[in-house]
Amino acid sequence: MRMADTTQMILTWLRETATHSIDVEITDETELIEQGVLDSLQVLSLVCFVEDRFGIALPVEEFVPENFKTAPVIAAMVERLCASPAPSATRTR
Amino acid sequence: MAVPANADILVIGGGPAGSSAAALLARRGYDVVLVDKVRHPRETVGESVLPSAWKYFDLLGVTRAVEHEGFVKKAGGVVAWGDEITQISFRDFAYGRPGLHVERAALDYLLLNNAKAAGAQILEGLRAESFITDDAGNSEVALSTGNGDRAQRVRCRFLIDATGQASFTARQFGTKQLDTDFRFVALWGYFTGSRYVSSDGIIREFEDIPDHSPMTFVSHLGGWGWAWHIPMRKETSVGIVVSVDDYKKHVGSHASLEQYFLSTCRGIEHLSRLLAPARLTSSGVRIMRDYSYAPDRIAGPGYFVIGDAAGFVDPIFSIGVVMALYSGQLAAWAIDRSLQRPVHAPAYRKLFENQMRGRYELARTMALPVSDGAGDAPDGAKMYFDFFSKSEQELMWSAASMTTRSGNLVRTASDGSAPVVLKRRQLDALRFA
Repeated sequence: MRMADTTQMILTWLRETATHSIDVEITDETELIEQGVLDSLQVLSLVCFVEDRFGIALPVEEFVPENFKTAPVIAAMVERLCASPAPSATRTR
Repeated sequence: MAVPANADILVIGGGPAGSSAAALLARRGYDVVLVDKVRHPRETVGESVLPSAWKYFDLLGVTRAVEHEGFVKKAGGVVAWGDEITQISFRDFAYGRPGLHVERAALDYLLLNNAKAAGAQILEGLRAESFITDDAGNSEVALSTGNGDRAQRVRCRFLIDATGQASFTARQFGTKQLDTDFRFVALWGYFTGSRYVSSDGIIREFEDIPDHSPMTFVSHLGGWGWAWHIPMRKETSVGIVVSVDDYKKHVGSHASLEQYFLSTCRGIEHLSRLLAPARLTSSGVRIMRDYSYAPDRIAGPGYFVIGDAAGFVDPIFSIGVVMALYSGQLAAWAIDRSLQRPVHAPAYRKLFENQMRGRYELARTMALPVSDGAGDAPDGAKMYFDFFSKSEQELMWSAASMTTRSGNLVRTASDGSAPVVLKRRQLDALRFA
């Protein structure tokens, strides 16, 4: 349930911000990096979004292409980080 | 010149990397000061720009200004390497917009003015001499006019080193490492009236440029050497890259550096036909030695190194300007995040470092003939390659495969899950229109 909500929030964000790739319809299955929806700049904006929205700090080891493949994959990473106590992070939620 | 005592961010260097970081941070509301040792507009080499630059121009808000300049549009590249002539066209890689051949004086000036318009304070004619960083990560930078005046000091929360080949921070730390696999010399000059190569290997006269977009032409030049030919609005940039050994062996038998350069250019099969009606301009021949290097440190508490200052491989694939724009963006992002969430500053810095190292390793993987007796490409390069879209990967692989230097990249690309398609075309000859 919660996971589906997170995925939905990420999809909404992607649809609103990934304006340079408007010809791609963004769904659960969209390969975000492969299809150019998340380029090297968009992925930085996405990090800001999930960090601020979910009150997490993305550990640098998590910043790998495999974690940004699709919206559900990103959501799974976010859920994992929300559940684990962040060592140096100040949780805002 | 009024030099402020304090700034949030001090950017040293007003090339594409420094100007883009300055513009983005100033627009975020930070107090940004950018210093450059020279006054713009100023000439520099590196005229070929890939189509991916446009998305950075969009972000910086300079797209209309760049279009208005009317730089020469580049349709792709033609490479003569060994017995083969191959072509790649940008239109095959999902780019809606062309590459560009730019006079760097004009492009860099436009980007610097954009930083100024965004609110950055631009101070020209000031050289950064040294810096110290305190325990809290704040830096103090000594600036001088070079006229023997007393140094002026600026305190800042973040320092951005965008000094290009001058490598300000690496020189201070003594961490500038020359790339021993890449001991090359570059020589270049500007020609008027040169013919050029357009799509499908058609050779045209200089006046035809507005009607028929040029290709960047690259030719093999013995060993690992190569030559570039980049037509711009009024002149054509032509350069050769030769090993230090080849250079030393041959330069002595010529009356001057210019004679060596001209006779080498005229000795290259296709280039000689392009240059037959051309004249070298009075600005002469420039030379750059030992330009392949990487510093050990590209970020630390309170400072970030971007653009060419963060490492330089070989300009064969025209990635310099785009890498500069990307690194300016990445540093601006990391600094903004660090100032908003200071407790996580080390993580943002590490992310910056990893991405920059990955990009550098990837550039090295593409451009280096065969690395250190082969082996796998570095993890950083592989990870970085997988951050690119399918069409960008195809462009990189197709471009690299036009030379005989692509072995490393093929290894990097081919162990991915999805196969990368080569989109290049063999030409049987370069022929006149």
